[in-house]
Amino acid sequence: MVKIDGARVRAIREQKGLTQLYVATVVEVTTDTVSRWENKRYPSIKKENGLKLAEALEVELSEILDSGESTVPMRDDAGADISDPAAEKTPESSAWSKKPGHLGILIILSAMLGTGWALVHYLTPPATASLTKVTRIVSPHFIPGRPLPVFLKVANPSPEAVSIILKEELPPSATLKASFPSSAGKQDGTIRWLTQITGSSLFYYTIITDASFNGTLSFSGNVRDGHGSEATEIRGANSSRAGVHHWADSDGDNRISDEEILEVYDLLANDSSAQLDLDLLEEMWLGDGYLWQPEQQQFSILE
Amino acid sequence: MNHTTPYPKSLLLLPFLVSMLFLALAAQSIAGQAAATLEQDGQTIRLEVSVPTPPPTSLIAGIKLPAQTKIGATSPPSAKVDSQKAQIKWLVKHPRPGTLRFSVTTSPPLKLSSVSAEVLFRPPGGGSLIRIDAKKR
Repeated sequence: MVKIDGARVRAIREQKGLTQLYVATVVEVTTDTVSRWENKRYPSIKKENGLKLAEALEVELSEILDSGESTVPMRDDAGADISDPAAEKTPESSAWSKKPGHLGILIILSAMLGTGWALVHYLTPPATASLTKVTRIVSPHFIPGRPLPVFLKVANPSPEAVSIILKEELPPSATLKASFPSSAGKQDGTIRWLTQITGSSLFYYTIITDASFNGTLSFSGNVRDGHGSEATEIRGANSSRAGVHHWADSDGDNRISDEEILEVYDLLANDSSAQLDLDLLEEMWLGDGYLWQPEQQQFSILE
Repeated sequence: MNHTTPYPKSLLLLPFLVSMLFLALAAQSIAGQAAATLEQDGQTIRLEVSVPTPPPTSLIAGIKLPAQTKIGATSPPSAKVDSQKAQIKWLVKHPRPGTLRFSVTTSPPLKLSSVSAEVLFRPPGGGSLIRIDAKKR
């Protein structure tokens, strides 16, 4: 477990213009969990989630940890180490304390080893891994027989244009309806883009299952760029379950909120080729809610 | 030995203060371009929204009236009207930088102090939802 600084997490997220939904998707938790982390002063979370959270916020883990958690040697005003009084009572520590040179070397060596380990563990990416990072955003639920968009947010730290090969395996039960950019190629159930990006780009595709499908779709994919020989797995959400809620209704409350519709328009930006019924989505937002009618295979909008 | 720093201690705070000022000015310039004002003309409530540059992909403008208010005509007409909550909303896709005008007529005429309005949008390229409360004229 690690103790994080909730206020710091919120500040970094807002500074970087990231939504709670985005962070929750990357860490693979709910938006409520992210909200709870941000609102508590110093919540304790699993180290694995802490690392994912740091990854989502594009910072090092140490930057979001509660600063009181770090183990800094206590020093007096003159800069000398304050030794643990309990340890001073042991014969070993007495012997060491009589040899301040040895003690100092031990402390310095430990600090160097610790720092080196931390740098290797947290800072250094695998030598041959791609620098390009891709995060998948997909609704946790979808309605069988209706289009489901899958968004791939691609980010590369390089200021120059980088060639990438982005591959995504389509779930066997799903059929590809549309892709953006439309230059994607499809082969053996895999959709591929070979293109150049600068900074951040959004790719997406739309799939549809049979109306009788009743299960979970699993997603996997990777990206390779000119910086590395190894492909990097796509992070973020990797499954979506068949249900009765519209994909844009991310909290599954049977209504399309202001935030939800703005997020959809923001993601789709200037493209409407994804075969998504945005007029219907707007009607749902205009109404007081919606219900999926499986018999008629259509939504009824509550007025 | 007398250890003294070559600069006064207060000078060491200068980079921090300058960076804070820069951040404050940057934040103000982003939010400063987007604004909303609410005014009343008899039975008509008007909301003016200044769309920032670059504009967001879409925005929602909303006016909240006191409960039981009878909502009349709205302009533009394609608004989300919630009579129970006495709330009107407009979804504007691909707004252009400049001024957007929205209005609603009410019965009976209202005091402007009892009305509120807000604008919601995400900054271009994604980010947290920005909510701007309308200032009353």
